[in-house]
Amino acid sequence: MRPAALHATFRILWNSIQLQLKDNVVSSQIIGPLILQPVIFTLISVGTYLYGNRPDLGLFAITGTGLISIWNANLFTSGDIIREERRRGTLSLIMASPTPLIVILLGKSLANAVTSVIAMGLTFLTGMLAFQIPIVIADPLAFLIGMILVIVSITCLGLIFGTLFILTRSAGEVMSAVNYPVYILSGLSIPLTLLPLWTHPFSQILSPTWGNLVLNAAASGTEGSMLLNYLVIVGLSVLYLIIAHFLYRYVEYRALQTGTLEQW
Amino acid sequence: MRSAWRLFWGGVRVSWVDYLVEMTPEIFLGMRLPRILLQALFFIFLAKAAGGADLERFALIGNGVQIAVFILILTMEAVIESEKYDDTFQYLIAAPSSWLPIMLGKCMAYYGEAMIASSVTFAVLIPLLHIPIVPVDLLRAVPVILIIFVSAGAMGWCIGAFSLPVRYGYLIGNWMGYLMMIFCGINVPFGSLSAPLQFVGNLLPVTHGLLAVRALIDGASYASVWPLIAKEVMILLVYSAIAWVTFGYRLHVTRQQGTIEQV
Repeated sequence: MRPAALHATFRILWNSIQLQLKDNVVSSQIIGPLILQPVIFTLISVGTYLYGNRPDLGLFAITGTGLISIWNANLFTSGDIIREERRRGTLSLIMASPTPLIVILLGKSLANAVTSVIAMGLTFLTGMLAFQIPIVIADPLAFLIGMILVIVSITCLGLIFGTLFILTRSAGEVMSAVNYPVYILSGLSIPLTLLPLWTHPFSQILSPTWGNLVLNAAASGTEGSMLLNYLVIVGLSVLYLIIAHFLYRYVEYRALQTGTLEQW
Repeated sequence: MRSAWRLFWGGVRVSWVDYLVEMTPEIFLGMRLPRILLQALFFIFLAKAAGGADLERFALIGNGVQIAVFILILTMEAVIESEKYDDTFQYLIAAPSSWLPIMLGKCMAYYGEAMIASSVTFAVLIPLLHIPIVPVDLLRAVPVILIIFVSAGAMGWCIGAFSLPVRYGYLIGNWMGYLMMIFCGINVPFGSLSAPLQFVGNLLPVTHGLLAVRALIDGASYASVWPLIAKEVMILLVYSAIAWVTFGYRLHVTRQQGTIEQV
């Protein structure tokens, strides 16, 4: 890619991030995944563990709920971005412009993922206030690095779904359908040992699984190097980006070929 | 009376056609049903991790009912709110007939979906997770489960009618569905909740009905759970009355002040 094109891509990426952040500030829809869901899911998951005399799983549930919120915010907003562009009649204009939609989607999704850090904070706050769980992160630096990597990775994973949303007007249904499988397969708030063995390969290819491992290890101060887990998250992020890139090219080709983007 | 039935069936037809616009068989079987099952499964796994097989069974019964309650709260709210977005609110005001039969009819497809959701959840997850529930005992509880559905639907109407002037109705309904998981004893026994939570739970649909359902599945007789069923019916009537009065009030004020566009 030429320097000028690279510069233009970064400019568009930055503009997309800014636009989405502004949209988030005034949007009422963000309240759900960003504020209400973290609080309610923390109350349900930690409350259930405390009832079952498993306070040792309280921190695990809180971290898992935080990741659920990050994934949710990313997935729902990625779907909403496509749905809104379609409703506003701007989807076909963006598809026809020289800038690939995936760059805009990446910027907007990244903005949403960064915003969703608030959700992680809220889950910890809810745990502290509602259940008096002492929240101490044993290794804050490892937690921070893990958090940044997992946010980027979840954004890349969301791009794969976001690309598919272009082809369907039922993005809302697709979003709802892919939500819970990721919670379950990634062991977010529930131990992976509950799942049958045949599901484990699916868990391994989901970055929230590794993010969950890293954040829990950093929060609880588990001994050992986290470098390998970091590398897996980075590797999966690259893999998601490659898949999203080729998928987007296919979707773009189909959309331009059939000319049915405006069908609503 | 005949006119009311005609309006009701008209509403049922509209409801069904409207439902099928979005919910093609592919979407229903490929997206909606898996989503329903996986949502229930997530909370059941959570309970199993916390309290083993006993709490798993407890959560399965709770979530088997709650999954339909969730659908009903959201869709009943949406039925009311869609009058605003579909520009049909003014016809309800202008029409000489009562709005109640047609609005009831418009809800029917969603009651069908709720029943399918609950049935599929029980039918798939009981054998899949090897939960010790005798199907006959579950069938005995069906009348109470239906009462719960109606009372949850009444609550959805209340949310829809109250939130009609604002744009957050669906959001409120969505989060009320999740909040009821905390207040109504879905994942953990209602008796284990703190006093303030129990106070709120006592005022909500589902709580008493679900206690009755659990008792019936465990072999209790209808005579022994009659007080719980009576409380659920009472709550159903109260919420229905509030929904009826509130929606009627919205129609009245809109007609009086000429503010259809502001609804």
